[in-house]
Amino acid sequence: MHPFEYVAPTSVEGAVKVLGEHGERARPIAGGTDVLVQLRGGRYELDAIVDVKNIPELMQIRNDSDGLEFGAAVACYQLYEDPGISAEYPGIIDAASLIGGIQIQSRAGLGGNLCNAAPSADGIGPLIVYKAVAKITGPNGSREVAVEDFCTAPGRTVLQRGELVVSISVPKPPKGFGAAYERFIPRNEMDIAVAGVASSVQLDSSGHTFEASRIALASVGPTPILCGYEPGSSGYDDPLAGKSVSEDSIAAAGKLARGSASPINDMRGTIEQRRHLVDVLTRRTIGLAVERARAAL
Amino acid sequence: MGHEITVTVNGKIYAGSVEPRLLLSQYLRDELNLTGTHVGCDTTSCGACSVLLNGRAVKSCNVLAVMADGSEVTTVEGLASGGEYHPIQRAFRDEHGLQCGFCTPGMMITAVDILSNNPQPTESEIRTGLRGNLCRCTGYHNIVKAVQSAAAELAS
Amino acid sequence: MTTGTTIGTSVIRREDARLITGNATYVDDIKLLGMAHMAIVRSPHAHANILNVDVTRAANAPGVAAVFTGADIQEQLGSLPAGWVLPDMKMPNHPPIAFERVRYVGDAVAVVVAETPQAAADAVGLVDVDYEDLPAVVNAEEATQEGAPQLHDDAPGNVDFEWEVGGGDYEAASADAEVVVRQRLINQRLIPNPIEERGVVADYNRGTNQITLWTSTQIPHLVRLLFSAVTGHPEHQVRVVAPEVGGGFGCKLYIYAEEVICGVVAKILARPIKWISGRQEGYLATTHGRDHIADVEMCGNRDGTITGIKTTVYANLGAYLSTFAPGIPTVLFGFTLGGPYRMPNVSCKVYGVFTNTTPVDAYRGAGRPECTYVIERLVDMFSQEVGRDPVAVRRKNFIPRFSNGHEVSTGVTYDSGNYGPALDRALEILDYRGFREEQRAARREGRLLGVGLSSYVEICGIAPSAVAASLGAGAGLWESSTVRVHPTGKVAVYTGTSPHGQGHQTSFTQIASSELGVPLEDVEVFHGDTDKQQMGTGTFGSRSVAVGGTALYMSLQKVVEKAKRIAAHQMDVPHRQVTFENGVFYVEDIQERQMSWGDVVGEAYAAKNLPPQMEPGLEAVTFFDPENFTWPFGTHIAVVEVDPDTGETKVLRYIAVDDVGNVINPMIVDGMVHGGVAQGIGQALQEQAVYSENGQLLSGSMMDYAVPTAEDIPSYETDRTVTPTRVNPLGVKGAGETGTIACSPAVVNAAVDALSHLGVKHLDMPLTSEKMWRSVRDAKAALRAVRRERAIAGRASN
Repeated sequence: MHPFEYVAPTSVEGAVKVLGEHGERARPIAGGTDVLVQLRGGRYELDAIVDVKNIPELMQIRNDSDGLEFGAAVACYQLYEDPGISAEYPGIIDAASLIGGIQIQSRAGLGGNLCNAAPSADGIGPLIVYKAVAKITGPNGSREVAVEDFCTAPGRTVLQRGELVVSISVPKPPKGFGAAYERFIPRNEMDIAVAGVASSVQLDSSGHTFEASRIALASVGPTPILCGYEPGSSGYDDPLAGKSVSEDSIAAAGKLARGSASPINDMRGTIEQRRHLVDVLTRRTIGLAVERARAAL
Repeated sequence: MGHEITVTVNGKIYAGSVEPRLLLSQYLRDELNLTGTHVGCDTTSCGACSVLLNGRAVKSCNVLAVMADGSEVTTVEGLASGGEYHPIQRAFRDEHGLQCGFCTPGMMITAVDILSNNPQPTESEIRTGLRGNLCRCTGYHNIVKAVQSAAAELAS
Repeated sequence: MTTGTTIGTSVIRREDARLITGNATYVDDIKLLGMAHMAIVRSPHAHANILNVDVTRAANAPGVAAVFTGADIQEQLGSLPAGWVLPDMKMPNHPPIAFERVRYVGDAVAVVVAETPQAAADAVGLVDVDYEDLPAVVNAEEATQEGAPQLHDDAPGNVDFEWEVGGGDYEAASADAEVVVRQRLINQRLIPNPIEERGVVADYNRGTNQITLWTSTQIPHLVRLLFSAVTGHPEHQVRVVAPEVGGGFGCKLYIYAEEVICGVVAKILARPIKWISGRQEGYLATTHGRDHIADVEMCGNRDGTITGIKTTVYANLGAYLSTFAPGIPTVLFGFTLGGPYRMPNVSCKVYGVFTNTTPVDAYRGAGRPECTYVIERLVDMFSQEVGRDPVAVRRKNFIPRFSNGHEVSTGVTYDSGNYGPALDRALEILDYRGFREEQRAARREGRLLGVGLSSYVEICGIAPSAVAASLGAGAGLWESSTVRVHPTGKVAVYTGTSPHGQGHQTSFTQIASSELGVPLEDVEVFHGDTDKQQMGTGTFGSRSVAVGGTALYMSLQKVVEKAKRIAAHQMDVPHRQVTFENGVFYVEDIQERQMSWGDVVGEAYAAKNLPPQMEPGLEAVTFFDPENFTWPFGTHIAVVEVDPDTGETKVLRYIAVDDVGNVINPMIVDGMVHGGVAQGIGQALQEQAVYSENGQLLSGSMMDYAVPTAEDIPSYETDRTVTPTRVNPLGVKGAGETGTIACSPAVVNAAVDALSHLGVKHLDMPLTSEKMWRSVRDAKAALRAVRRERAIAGRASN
């Protein structure tokens, strides 16, 4: 590893200042689980590591009637060991309890998962289908970016020089809302999905009609994909809104998701297999999301 | 370049200066001579280096020593207390949960974490909990049995 | 106090106390005063000429003590030899540090010695090497073809050897046969992956000219011998220690470049040198296993009688010959091609081929898993072809029970065998009929369940030296022991075997304690140190208890015999009247005439009243050379389920019934089976070393090479039958490799069975989800096409 400076600011302003000074040569880390593996693997060099775990705003969790907001440095286990969050946000918990394994979940969080912007990230899709928003602070003040607009390319995000994700805010799911995440790992590697799908559905009071839905895909494009949405645009083409809950409508959503995927061939999986898996996982996650939504009616 | 850190390892307080890029695994092995924590890979895959950091299992090759400042660390050397094996140590021995012993420290540490959060895990929960720890000797069969047996002992 | 025999009981392991407390000492735990750290500059090219190596920048980097290129120290380093020499085999040079040409990614081109591991690693990037890239070849069959890149001038066509074995007349048998099944089988390349990678610490004492190597090895004595042969440093001034070793599985069974380099560099610099392999470095520089391309066939009759087997194998050796490499795909593969079956006609031809890849040598099972895979896949294909149950075909062709030798058509003699009961027991544990019903029901629901069998015989207990030598072994393969009884009656056992997880400290203690009637606590077992035991062979090929344990047993007999003579002399009776039991020497029928173990040992050292001409002391040494190999056998059964949507294939049940002869410690033997089976499931489902066409290892880290996790495998159901061998007095056969030998074909047979109703006849390992999903999809599509054609044909004929 190239030698680097270690800074542990105790305020958002302090972190923003150091990040601004170093630009691309510095990175904030919370658990550091991705960054340390990448540094040791020689993927890039850094001059400074900014440990953000001592900044109170990045370590807070608030779960109330408005929704859930957690600091960007909150570790996965802090979410899934909270009974309230587990009960209300099961689709997010699906991912938080999958990432890495328990040793990684002790350190890593969804904030880091988001900022690492890996195409295969397990945590991003679930945040998208819960309509989560990243709260960002930088040298020019604060802004909010919807999670589906956050990643711009593999390892790249909307963050500008000096900017830092402070927290992630998830609106309170209404009655009749359900979500789920599933991924497929082919076993020829440790922890990188060949395809992952997060789905959320909003059912009407009868539980038999979709009012709204979201399907987000992992590992099948350069960034996470929200089906029916062009990043940066205002339009959203909901795949299921207005349809009745049926095998046919779910199968159609699977086909649509399959068409939204733009995977590549690599050692882990082929285009053909990844597209097929998107179809399978979409159907499975919608099925589970419907089950959860009906339980929440 | 050096950072002053204070870390409590197995109940003993250590203070010293570390380079930022020093990993916790290197700090434990090279600086503190606690060589029971093993290193089996360079990609944070094998889990042999697992230790408890403030009571939770982490892979010590994936934490900078400087990030452990002010923390409590438990390594395999700290599992036994007062001359008595920890129940997980006894269980690994009695159930033949180890052969070459290289993965064993990390495996036991992870098992301690699993049981502290889930005192009566199912076989499938144990297997899922251990998925970040590789063993090439035992085929995991007796490791799973050891965790079950330690769970039973801790419950009684 | 534990007395009486503990043979056959699950004594908890004596090695565990240090291993569960962090008190064991592996190579990387050794620190010596003034120790420097070595890192190796490795070739990023699979095949290239070295034009120039410029070490200036590295040599001037902070903390760097020295940099050596291959050219600098080629005289001292010599060439790494092959220890198994087949007829007409080529012996290309293998310099520990390449100085003219590199032949695989990972070939060493220079070494950096520095004050810290970090400084050494940093300076590796500062060694500037100019390469002239050459075309590379990674596939063994392609390497033999015209126009393929040539690795070694003295091995034209990249063929190192052509080797044949056989019996009967396969061509005649297949011409007469009613059925012949043929298949190309790929036994993919694997990476052994002990969780401890390799490492070496070398020390040189200028005053005594002694070199000490601590190395993570299975064969310290052979490392000493080969180190001395390669470097010219006198053997009696070399000490090799295998400290705690974190697994081996065959890949720590050779003289490695790094062992030679560390020893030589320590001598040049006169300071201790440590080299610890990283995992990714190890994937390049530690041997791989398997990698066969085999064209195989089996012939027989419609009644289920098998009459012959034929194989033509391209065995990938990698870029250079590793120590045992030539013996693995030949001797350990070909002689058992008849398996447990009456196989009157066998034909086996093997091409050993060089390619631009990491050298290939033994990996747990070593030749025998490849052999069993060929036989057991073919038996299933043959059964399907003749329309008979695979269980019935196996049973019909088993060699009938024998207890004192059975010569098979390849010319070797199996020691003892009784194959039916192991098969029956495995079927009973499974409830074979019940499973077939369950399978039919599952198919009606669209679920894909399958069962697969694998009945095997393996060649173990390596080895009768004269036989091994006639087959190419470059060293005697006997084993040694020393039993040293201390004046207080405590017993030190020294063995030439070198365990790395097998628990010899426990099982050898059980043997000694049981024979001498002393408590387990009074026995200590020493191994893995050439200064403690004069010469030995090591631990591999499931040989340790069968050969090393027997050597120990014989030394114990010698000690007891001498002690009885002392006791007889003391009690003034003829020594034949003295009986020794449970640590007491007594004269038959005279209760009061007895002496304890401690008393007799005391007399042996006090030497005040010994029989005439008897030397004082109580110690014995044995070099045991077995008269034959041992031949364990058994039947394994796998039950798998394939997810038709994703292709994910899971092993639901795994049943292993092995017969390894007598068992010293059942708990340890079960553990060996478990570990081997996990590796077998790994090969069947997920493990694979993948090279790009230009020789880059794509599965180059633990993130890309799928060692099974606890989630990937089930718990196992194990049992044993017991058919002792007469090859050694303990009646033991060896239990280290049954799992990998039996398992992979059982799992593949089960997966093929799960898809057989769709018309699938064969699947190559590893059975990745993608491969299985495609197989299901394509088979279903083919079935639909057939049905459509039939429907059209049906309408047309109406």
